[in-house]
Amino acid sequence: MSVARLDLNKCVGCQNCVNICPMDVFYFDENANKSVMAFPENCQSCAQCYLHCIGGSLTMSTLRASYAMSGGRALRTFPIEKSQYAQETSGSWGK
Amino acid sequence: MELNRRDFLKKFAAGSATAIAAGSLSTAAFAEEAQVGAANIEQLGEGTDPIVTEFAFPGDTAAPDQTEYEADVVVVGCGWAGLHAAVTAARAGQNVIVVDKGRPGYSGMAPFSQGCTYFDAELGDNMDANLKVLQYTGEYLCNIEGFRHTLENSKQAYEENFEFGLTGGYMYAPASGITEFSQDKEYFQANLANERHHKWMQVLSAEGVTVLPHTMAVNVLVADDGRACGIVALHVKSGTAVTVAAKAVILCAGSGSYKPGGFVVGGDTFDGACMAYDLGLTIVGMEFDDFHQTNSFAPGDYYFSNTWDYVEPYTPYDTYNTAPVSDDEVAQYAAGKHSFMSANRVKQGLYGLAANDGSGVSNRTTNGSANPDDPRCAYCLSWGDQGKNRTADSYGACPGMPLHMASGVYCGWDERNGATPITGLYVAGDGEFGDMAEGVVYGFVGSTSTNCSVQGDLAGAAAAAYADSVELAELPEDQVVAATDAIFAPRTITKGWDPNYVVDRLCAIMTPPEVQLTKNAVNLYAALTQVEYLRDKVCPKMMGYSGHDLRICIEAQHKVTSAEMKLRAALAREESRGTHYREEFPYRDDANFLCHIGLSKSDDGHMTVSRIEIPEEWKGDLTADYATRYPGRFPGEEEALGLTAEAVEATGSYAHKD
Repeated sequence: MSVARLDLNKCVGCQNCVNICPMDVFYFDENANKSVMAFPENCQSCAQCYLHCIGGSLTMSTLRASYAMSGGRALRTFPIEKSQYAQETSGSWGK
Repeated sequence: MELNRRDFLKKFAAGSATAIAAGSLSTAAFAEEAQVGAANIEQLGEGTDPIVTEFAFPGDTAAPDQTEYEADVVVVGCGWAGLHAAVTAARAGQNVIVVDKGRPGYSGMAPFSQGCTYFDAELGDNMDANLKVLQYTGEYLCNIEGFRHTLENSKQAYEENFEFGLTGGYMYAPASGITEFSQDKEYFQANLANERHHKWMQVLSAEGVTVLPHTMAVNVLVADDGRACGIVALHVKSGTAVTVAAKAVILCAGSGSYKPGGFVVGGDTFDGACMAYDLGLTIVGMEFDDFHQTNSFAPGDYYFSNTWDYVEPYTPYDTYNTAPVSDDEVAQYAAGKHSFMSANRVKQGLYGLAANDGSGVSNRTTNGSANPDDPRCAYCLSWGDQGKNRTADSYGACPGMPLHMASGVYCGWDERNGATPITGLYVAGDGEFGDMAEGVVYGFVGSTSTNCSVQGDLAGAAAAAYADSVELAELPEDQVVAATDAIFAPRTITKGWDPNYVVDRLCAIMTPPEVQLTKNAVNLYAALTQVEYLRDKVCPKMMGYSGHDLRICIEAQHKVTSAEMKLRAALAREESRGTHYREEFPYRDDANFLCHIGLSKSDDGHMTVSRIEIPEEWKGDLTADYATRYPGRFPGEEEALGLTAEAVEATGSYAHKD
């Protein structure tokens, strides 16, 4: 149970989904003028983004994005030196 | 090497490198699952899951221009309680800031309210009879005077909601001419005038309230003189710390729940209760907290649907989404599907129990009114035709809620304004103000949205009056630093646990029926052991880097804390009552448990359990026999207690019959 993308071409860049989503699923790509379904695993399927999607870019899926219930999958590592956060907290990584 | 956001995007948007970006994991999962059973993804056809072609997560947004605020009153969370608290304080001349980790009108439970009721003597309501029903359904642990107080104020709160334009309902689907489920967007558009989600921000704006959306309060700060003086929050979109210095703080952050496996877990994560707990305040009512499973026609409804095998919160499901379904039909379906006794008993207690004193008063004041002009039950988004027939969906799943008007911060049973033991800190609404107004079963259908509004009104007025009497205190620097460090701690480790793993695992621990419904000590301890492991070994190693990750880390921590509360309270209550059922103690134990269980943080950081006495007048007639006191029964209870057929008949039993 999750929001899903029906057709990214139909996204008109209104950012309704970005503003509305209570679970912070959506971000916005200013360069492409498209919303980004960044964290669908946190979708609570309230469907308000879908109802407010002007272009009809979104749909609701019967599938739910999730993480596997295993330690191996859950343990995640980031290439942090390449991330935008490295500069902000330079020197504090890898403690 | 320094990368700006644009470079970051370009670098990671190309090809398989997207696998590195957060969020793309799920994209991959979609593609993988979509291919199952289909040789060619094109064969899936229209209406099935689409091919996802997302851009990579573009990274956090730019930090907001302003990160330090000052206000007279800061309101944390903005459902019914937060809205009323903010508006009331603003109308009292206060400079009010609302912080909401999502967006007011879309966050929390308020958008999912299905109906409302209020007390109105002019419509024939009898206060004493209503309170007596509440005493039965609440099984002698409900705050009689507290509920009287909310009922007395409920009409005013309703009228305010009417004034705000929040009481409209969707039109009856056949009348709208839109009856096909596939026309969901058309139906939504046709009902836009009565749609309440978007009106929250309009109301706040009209009242001059400053709203900080996507801003999650994390800590309430307490000045040296012991009074609350503001909050530290996380602006989620940008991953930036925000502070609000305020004369008064009102927590309206709502409740939380654990949902059964397979269900989405939303943003209701006991944030307010956990912030209060961290300050040393006592939390009550957690053993009665329940999950609310949801479905498409009734997103906030637990009682009709919690025994369904698996009810999708949104997706159209055969007849239940295409034909009007009456209450009775739904109830019959639910009864036929039930698996766990306590759930069914609760349902019967709710919808079957009436005052057994011959007064004929039903607890269903919402739909039970014989007056055809009774305006109540007006604002159901998912029900039309005066609530008699379901007409269309309101779309969506509630993020989870506890037993209504029960758990939260214990402020003393006589407290009506939500003033906590910490000066300047107020609580209002579901899951926040633990006045146990409804006792141990949700007693009055349709009362919650109104009562949350009442509590918001009262807390807003009290906070405003208090704010007038004090000066703004400076935020304690050390506390700001400590709180900020804690927010960003998940960024300081390079290997760790995804917070989503904690949330998922907690769901698996807390939602099985042997933990959630039919409890016993062995299973509760087993769950507690796992929760303690998460608390001690996993939570400190949660990592994340985006603002979103940080939010999920905080939420996961809160859920772990609240899970421990729930388990310890459930272990302490060695009896069965209301929504709390213990296999080894299957009956009410009036001698030992006409009390509440409090949870608080000791000086050494451990959770302590305490007994909180209740006033004698809540306890009803203690000389009456068991059958009279408890007309709602657990399965096998009548036989085990040797209740005669006459006694059962005389007291109007609604016992489980299977």
